[in-house]
Amino acid sequence: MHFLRRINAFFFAPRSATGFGLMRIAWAVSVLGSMLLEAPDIARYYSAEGFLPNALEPLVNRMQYRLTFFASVTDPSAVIGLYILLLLFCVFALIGVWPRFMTFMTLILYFSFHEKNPLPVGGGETVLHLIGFLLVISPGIEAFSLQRARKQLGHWKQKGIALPPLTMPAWPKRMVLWQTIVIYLASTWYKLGSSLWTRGTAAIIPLLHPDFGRFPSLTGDVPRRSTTFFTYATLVYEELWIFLLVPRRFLDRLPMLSQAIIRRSLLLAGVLFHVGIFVTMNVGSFSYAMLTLYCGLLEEEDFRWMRGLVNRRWRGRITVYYDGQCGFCTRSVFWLVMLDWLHRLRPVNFQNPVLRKKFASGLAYEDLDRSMHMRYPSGKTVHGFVAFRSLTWHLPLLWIAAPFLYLPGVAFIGDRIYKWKARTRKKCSHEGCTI
Amino acid sequence: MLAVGVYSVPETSQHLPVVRTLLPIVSPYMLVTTQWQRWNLFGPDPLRRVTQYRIEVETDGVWTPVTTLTPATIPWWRRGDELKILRQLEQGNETIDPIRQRYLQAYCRPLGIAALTRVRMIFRTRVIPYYRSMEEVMSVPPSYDWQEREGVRTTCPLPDDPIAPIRFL
Repeated sequence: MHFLRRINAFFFAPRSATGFGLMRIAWAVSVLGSMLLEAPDIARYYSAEGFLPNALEPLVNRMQYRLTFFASVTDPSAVIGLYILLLLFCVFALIGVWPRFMTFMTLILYFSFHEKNPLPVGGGETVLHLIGFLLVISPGIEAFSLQRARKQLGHWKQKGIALPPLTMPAWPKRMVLWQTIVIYLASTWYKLGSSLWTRGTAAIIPLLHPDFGRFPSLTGDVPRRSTTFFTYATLVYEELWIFLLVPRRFLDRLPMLSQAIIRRSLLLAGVLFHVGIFVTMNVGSFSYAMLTLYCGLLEEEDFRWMRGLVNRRWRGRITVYYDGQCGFCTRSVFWLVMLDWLHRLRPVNFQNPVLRKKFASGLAYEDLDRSMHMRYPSGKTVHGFVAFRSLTWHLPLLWIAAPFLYLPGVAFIGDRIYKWKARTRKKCSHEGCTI
Repeated sequence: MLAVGVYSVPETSQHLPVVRTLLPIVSPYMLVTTQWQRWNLFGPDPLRRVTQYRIEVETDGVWTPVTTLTPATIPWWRRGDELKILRQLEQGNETIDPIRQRYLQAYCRPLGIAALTRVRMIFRTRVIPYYRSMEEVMSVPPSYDWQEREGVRTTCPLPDDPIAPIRFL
């Protein structure tokens, strides 16, 4: 029984589904990006007018165990029509409208294109196939989706709090980890059959090759001297992933080490590894496909660790006062809570006298009613457009917009719009406002 | 998970008894679900052969270059795919000549080559040295000893022949 319980826990213990939601988004972005780049050549690659019509396929393609729409769809217009459908399904999978169905449809079409013509398919596309397959069969891919957001909004309106974080059974994460380990170990297995890798001179070759190296003519002394280091570092890094097959209960006994630390270190090293490859070499979609795969390995403890890292000098919460009787305000604060990945906000409905007394001392009701107020842990209070602008520094998704809100003229316009919206909100019933 | 592991074993090790037994069983599943995979990017050895692809037209019995396809002449948004395709076409044997011919014919209209003109693609290759040690990495210069061979020859299609043209030229 104990053994069965362990097996059950190994495959079905609840784990955070946040990483898989991120993986779905990153996968859709990768597929969309790589297929958009092929737009000028869709007919040439995949239709009867291309260089690989159906009659010539057996020369380069297996004809068994193959599923593709393009066995029968060969007309260029029809092929382009399916291509546009692929892009549409991909966008819907990205934003999370019927996420599973759209991911499935994207994958089916993506497979079809590559099964029709495998000549442009490289390692990156292969990784994206595998990720797509895992997403389709895994529960819990709807984190960061519009579908999930609708459920969150309904719960927020009813109870004033967000739903608990999405969870999923452990087995899809086990499959992602296993696939990642297989990629790296198989890659090392191939490399160890070569004397260039074992002699420590392989790393310079792709940098000197014009097809791969982004700067082949600039490969001077420094990269050449680093050849041995990068050659062996590649082999060592790929082999280290095997440690993640060691059961957690053994690793966690090691001083200064735990499975979480090893996994996080490998992921961080992997980000540097693949970003480094992307910067110095042209390997198609491989780098961002692997970074997409990494998203599926992220656990709740990793998100807590990242949050802790960003918040290491931050203490307390920013109290955001909102009008709970106003539908627009309630929905706006809902979206702020959804974007509050750093967990720095504390929304307070100032229409609740208990909460107003507890959190809004020193603030007049009339002032709170006139515009959104925010109080920092230091006691500093801001309101209106200025409050919204300062809030963007605490919401990672809005960091990119934050500097633009300080450009000349933006505050003037923003303040006018804010005041107009604050005045007109009173004209809406609770559900009658639209954002 | 077992299927993924077995299928990913390098070809040089597929003689192992376990792999030899399981591979025929897992292959159909892996192929149908498009989980087929080979992780031999830069393995066993990184590719050392550098190839340029020169397109020539025949005029009055004389072959004249029209364009050369290199990473520098292909736009960055098409570079990865086109070079991959060109490498595959270069590596294949003569059985894939019909594919090479159709590939080359797609260049005729964008390059303004008249129908029924004879065209050919020359594979111009050199090889990056095989560095046996760090001393050779630091001292042996890249080799620019180019070798050339004809890759494929064909005639340009007629105006109403349905051939999708190259769009990045």
